Amino acid sequence: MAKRRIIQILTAFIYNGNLPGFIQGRIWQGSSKQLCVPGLNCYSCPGALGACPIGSLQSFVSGTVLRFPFYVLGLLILFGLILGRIVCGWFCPFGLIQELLYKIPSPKIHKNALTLKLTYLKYLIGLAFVIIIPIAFFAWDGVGIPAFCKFICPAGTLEAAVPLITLNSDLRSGLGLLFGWKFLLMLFTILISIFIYRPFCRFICPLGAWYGIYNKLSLFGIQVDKVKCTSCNNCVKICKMDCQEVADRECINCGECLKVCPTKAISFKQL
Amino acid sequence: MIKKILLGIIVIVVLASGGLYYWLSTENKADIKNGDATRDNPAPQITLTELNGNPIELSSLKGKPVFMNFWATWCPPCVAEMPFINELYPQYKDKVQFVMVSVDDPKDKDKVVKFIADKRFTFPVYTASQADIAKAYNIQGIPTTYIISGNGNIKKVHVGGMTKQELKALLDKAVKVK
Amino acid sequence: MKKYLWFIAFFFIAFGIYQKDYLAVLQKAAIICLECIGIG
Repeated sequence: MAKRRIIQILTAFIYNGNLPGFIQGRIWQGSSKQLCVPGLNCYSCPGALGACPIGSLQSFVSGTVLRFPFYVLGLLILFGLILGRIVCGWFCPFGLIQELLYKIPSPKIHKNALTLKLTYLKYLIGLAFVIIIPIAFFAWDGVGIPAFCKFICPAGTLEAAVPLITLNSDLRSGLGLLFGWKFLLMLFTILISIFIYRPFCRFICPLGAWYGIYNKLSLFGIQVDKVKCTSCNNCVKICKMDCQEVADRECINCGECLKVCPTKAISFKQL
Repeated sequence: MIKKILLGIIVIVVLASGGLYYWLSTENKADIKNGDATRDNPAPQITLTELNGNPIELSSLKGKPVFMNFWATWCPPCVAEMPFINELYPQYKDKVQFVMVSVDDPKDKDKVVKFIADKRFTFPVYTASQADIAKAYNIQGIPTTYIISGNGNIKKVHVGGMTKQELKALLDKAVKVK
Repeated sequence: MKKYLWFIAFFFIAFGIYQKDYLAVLQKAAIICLECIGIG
């Protein structure tokens, strides 16, 4: 198995190490949840040992008091500066799930001009659902809501809602239209991941949008030796994401392009 | 060479995470015994503190059914149902005891006081030690509402926010519990 | 630009720790966000 896959699987187990939670239908309540993990991993997942960075960010703009999220934002900047979208390619369980679904044999919809345009959607979704809507609700009736978590995040539905309501009958009493919507959205995401490579990461995920900004700045990640590069574009052609060049904001640092570069111009940055 | 380094890193990460997991698992002392804070079991005793600082034991509220709701100022669905609870409070307060327990961090008590005052809620509000809440009730999600009978047994547990109709139906059931 | 971002990251984390933001993170993460999972 490729080393990236091994690390993705290890990451999933490390982020969700509270295995008894999956039997008891309860979440971990220990102090390790003071720390955000770099990837999108719902903190309501029974196994989750850390906090989701987007969920944590939302917690500062939801409820009856608005606070600037110094700690979470500082961590997000730090993760970006160290890893950029390596998080997406190596340290995100929801990315792993989409990649495994894509392996199911089926006709595939490859990247094209439309998918490239759709990659901008995740920035709009991030701005709207992570920042603007929560604050707008706060301004309107004094209570901010975690709009991305509440209305969109399929990772939360899959990793948290489904196991918890399966195991915990008390939680079923609150299911309603919102759960219906989230469940359909989760099913849709799972389904299209069979035909389209990582659709959530490419078009929806605000965390991927954030880390993409840091790809060129990060300590680790993919780089191109411009002297060796002959602009053959093999790298862009093989790339399943919507990269226009290696290590741009869409690059999840999976390393597939390294294998096809005829001049070995592509490499991972070393310290 | 790179493969050896990578293997070394993987081994270190696995050992470190195993050790971390072991350390953290001994830290999380939320032991869950079957029957704690669940239906048809006695409601675990807990010391509540009124907003003016007076302590009160939950067990002293025997005699009438109790509507006990765990909420927090930072919880949107909790805050959303509170106006409905406030509307129903005058109609039911003679038949059901309302116990609205804030799980906000104790250092945020001023926020709780201000929130209740700003919203002009009239129901009784309490705080409790987070450790007590965790140990006695093992609250997993909020809002969580308990209906406790007059002789101290849990009759109903509802997790999640409720509409006014759902609250009214729950309170009508609470009035009838023995 | 990178230097400033490193400084901002460490300053934000330090200030957030000073304000005990991590407790707010723990609070929200240790109680099931019912809305987040579609309940409520």
